[in-house]
Amino acid sequence: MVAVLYHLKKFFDIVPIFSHNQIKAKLEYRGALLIDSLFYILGYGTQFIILYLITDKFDAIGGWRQYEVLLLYSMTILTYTIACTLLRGPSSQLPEKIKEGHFDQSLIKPIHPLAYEIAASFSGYFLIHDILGIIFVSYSLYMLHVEMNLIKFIFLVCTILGGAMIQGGVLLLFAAVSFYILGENPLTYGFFIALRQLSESPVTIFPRIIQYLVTFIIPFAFICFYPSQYLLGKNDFLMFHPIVQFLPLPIGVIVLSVGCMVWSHGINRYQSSGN
Amino acid sequence: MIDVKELYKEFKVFQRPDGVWASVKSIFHREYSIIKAVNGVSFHIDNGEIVGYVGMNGAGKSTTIKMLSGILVPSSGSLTVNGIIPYKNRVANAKNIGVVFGQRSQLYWDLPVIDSFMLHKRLYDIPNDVYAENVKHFTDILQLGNFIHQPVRQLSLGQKMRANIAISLIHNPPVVFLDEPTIGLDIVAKAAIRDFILEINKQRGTTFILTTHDMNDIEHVCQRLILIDKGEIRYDGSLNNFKQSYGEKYILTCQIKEFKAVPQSELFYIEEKTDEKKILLFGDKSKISVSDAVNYVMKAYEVVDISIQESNIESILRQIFTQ
Repeated sequence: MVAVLYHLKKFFDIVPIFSHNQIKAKLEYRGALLIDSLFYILGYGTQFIILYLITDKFDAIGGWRQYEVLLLYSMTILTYTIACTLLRGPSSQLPEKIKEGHFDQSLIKPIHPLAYEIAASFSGYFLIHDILGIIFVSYSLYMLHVEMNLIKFIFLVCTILGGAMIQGGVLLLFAAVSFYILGENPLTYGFFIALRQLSESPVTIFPRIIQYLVTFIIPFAFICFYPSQYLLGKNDFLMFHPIVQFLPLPIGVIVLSVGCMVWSHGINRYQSSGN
Repeated sequence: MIDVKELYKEFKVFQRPDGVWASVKSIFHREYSIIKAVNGVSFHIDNGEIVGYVGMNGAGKSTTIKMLSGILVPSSGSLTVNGIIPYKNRVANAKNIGVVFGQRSQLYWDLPVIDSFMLHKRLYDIPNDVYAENVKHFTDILQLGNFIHQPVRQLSLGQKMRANIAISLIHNPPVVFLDEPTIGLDIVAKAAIRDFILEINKQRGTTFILTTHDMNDIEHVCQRLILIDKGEIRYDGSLNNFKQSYGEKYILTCQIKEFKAVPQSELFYIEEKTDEKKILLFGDKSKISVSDAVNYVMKAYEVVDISIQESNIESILRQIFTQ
């Protein structure tokens, strides 16, 4: 416990220096900033619109209506961007760092390498990405006429946290594979995105084996499929107990812990690289 | 202080096959080879020593340094730095050591040098007065003043290296590992870095382990030499002993007017180069001194020109490593 507090304190000591600098650098290259934002909005925006148009043609997909499907998509994107805002350093940037031997630096600092990697890549700028997700989620909830009260709001916040933790944990787990194998990591970003699509659609439409997969193996169904049923008053729990709708946060804690543990253990397998 | 016993580090390396068909086959069946980068190394280093750790490329120098700094986990054997096992307790070890990898900068590309210093101040909890004093002191001797507020990407190689060395020492670590700290630098920058190492060692009793390919670094700075070849230690002892045991040899090169038949002696060996009108005398100080050898040659021949080449560490090492 003392050790955790120590690393947290160190983290908050150094994060302002990195973040301040990253924002400064972003603003320095205005063209890149503009293109990055445009790319982001276009990427997710068009997908949102396409999904809107497709669902417009059907009454329902697997018993899920248009805005219900859009809510699934929005929640997945929001929780993903939150996970990425925090974990870009130790996840998507890690394989390259391991390959080039740049991970050396993180191992000679008096702070846990995971905390250091998060701090060194943290940039307040990426919070902008999260805003788009928030807009999507709010819009979908509004169109679904979901009546918000305090309990539902707390539930929603917990669900988003849990979903971000699930995706973050899996991202860490995938990246940590680079510690254990020589050569290219097969669990790439593209692979993650493909898997994540399982969470963007109503799980009902998939075969049973996939329903088991996204519940027990890679628990992406907990990101939004199960919990959104509470918000929407649905009752579509496949072959499982309705309790699953309240589990995103605890599952998130478990997945993230596993991700952190595998990642931290992987450090000892790091081989660096010759000069 | 630093204790290394029977240290081994093996790397598994994927054998990349030649040809397309072999590559396809390698998807299903892979062949790995084991490289023994460090092969049973033992040494002990006391407080305040400056040790030169020397070997050819791929001899295992950097691998040893990386194990001592906690980056790599040894395959077997034991090591402690200040009583701490580096790979088991990285945070405690990091506080005790400073590391410079000459080929890789510790500085942050976009940050001005002073911001990197500030970052380390916070990481290492350096008290304000110690920090201020160190920054001032290092800025003075390493002449960082001109560029300390510039982003790292605008600095020259020499400036970056000086800043790297300063930052590795800013938390007053008792042990410092310098892995090729003078690589690619001009003679002035090299001299500045050598002086800096000596001064810090004298002032603070800091222990240094230094790897380099420039034998002048070793000759100027180190008292002790550890020689590593193919992962094994070939020599460990004082620099003077090393020079004496290997370095008693010299070569006299003489331009002469004409050849005479001169009897060979047991004390030295003479090689005649008839077409160039030159003789080479290979001597050994333990048998005959340089001045006696010169006298001998002057009497025996009509000498036009003479030059003496004494073996230095570099020529000795070349002999050892090419054997």
